[in-house]
Amino acid sequence: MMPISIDSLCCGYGKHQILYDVSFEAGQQITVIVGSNGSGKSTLLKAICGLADVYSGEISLYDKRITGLPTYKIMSMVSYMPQTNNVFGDITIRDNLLVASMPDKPDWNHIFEFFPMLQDRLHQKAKDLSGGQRQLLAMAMCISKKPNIILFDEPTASLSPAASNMVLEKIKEIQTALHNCIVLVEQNVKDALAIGDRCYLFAGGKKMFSGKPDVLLADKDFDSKFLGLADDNTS
Amino acid sequence: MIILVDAAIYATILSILCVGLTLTYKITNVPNFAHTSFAILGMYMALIVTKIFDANPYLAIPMAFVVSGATSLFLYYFVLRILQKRTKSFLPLIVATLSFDIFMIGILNILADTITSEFQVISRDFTLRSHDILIFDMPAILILSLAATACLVLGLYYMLYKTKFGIKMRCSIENTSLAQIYCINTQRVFCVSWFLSGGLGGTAGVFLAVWFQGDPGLSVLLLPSVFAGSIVGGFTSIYGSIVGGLVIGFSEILVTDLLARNFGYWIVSYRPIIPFLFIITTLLLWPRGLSEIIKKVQERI
Repeated sequence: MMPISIDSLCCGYGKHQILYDVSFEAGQQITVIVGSNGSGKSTLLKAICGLADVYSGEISLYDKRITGLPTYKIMSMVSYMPQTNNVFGDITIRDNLLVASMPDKPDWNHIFEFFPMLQDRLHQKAKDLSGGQRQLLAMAMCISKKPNIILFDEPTASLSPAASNMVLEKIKEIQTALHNCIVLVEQNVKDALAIGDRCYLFAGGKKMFSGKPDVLLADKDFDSKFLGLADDNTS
Repeated sequence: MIILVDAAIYATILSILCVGLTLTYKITNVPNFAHTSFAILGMYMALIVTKIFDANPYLAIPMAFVVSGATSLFLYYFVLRILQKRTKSFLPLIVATLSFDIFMIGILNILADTITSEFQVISRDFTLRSHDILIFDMPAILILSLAATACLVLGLYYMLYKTKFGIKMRCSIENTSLAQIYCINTQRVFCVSWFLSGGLGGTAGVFLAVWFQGDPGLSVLLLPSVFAGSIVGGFTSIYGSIVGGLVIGFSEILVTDLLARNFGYWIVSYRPIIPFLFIITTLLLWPRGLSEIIKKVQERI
């Protein structure tokens, strides 16, 4: 059974269509989605979570059709880390982790195994953390339920190179330890492809490439595709 | 002394109403102009229990809580929730709550007429003050309304900070879509909040009926005072709204009394100017009201 299977998906927000006839699969590995701004990478993750409007096509998790289900039901099968506003700033780190683990209690040992820095800051409010620390807290919230599927939407956005590397290394560490399905949407293309097992290239709301990251990296038109020139095919 | 008792009772009732108004505004961003009609519904529940069932007015509290809570839930679930899905604009929601208030005044008039025609009970400009009991030589309403406000402060603190539902509520307030991502059924949280808000309105209505005159049109007169209390409290701070309600309640009664003693009793009819002055002054000079102070106190605690 494939953890994520998407067939001929057309989706967007209201009347504004973003993705056109996209098929996608992700196994128990790190699947990286890259593409220029506005190519529909994040919308794909939102569609999986029920946060975008699906016009046609099917989304299945472990062969279970989830298209049209409310977000809170889908999220019992998936963990999703949004690009921004991904922690509750006004509550403590402890309460953030409590919320992320509901209805069960958090497995503190499991969380601290990956994120030991949170152990001494449990009673600190999340808004008082630095950008990098906040991303780590959001990642800790994602793994607190030990999910089989985790979707990361640009987790390194607006982070320093050092913090970006730390976040990407942590994602690799999580996948190696938990053997789960991770889908990573990234602008930090080369570093993301370096940790990925499979990758997709999106442009103008369409899938332009799927395969091994080294094949994409070896493509001589690789840079031009990331400059958005491939969008010409879709308008 | 009687004026102080009047002020204390009115101020505590206003606080309870302000908490309800602030709760729904904070959670769903809807300033509910129909909020005071839930209190008037509570007043009529007290009238029915006292005059028709010949019982103590305070026994109407559970019924008033449930009936007003259900009415409030109806407004949210069947009107506002659907409007919120269709439009992001603020205006249709305000117009919808205003329309619902007018609808409620109509329903309350029908209820009042039915009570009079079917049971020969005076249902306009009525008061149940004679049905109040004495506790330690003081009117029970004074002790009970103060106790209700104290319980509200403690109960809300416990619910918001010590229960899972409270954490869910705070998360839903801060970021609805992120709360949904973490499996929080935000619709259920919103529905509970609206029910709670209406229930508090109904409870305040029972207290109002025991001490003040009840009438179907009273909601319109009460609305500026409740809005003033919430705005002085910061409009998004639940504890601020309690303090705001107390400030407006005491000011309205004591300032009007002071002016009436000095300038004559004709001035009493201008009492509604006081909440309007508070609203204008707060919005112009101190838009965040008491919320900043309350926040600092909470952080220290």
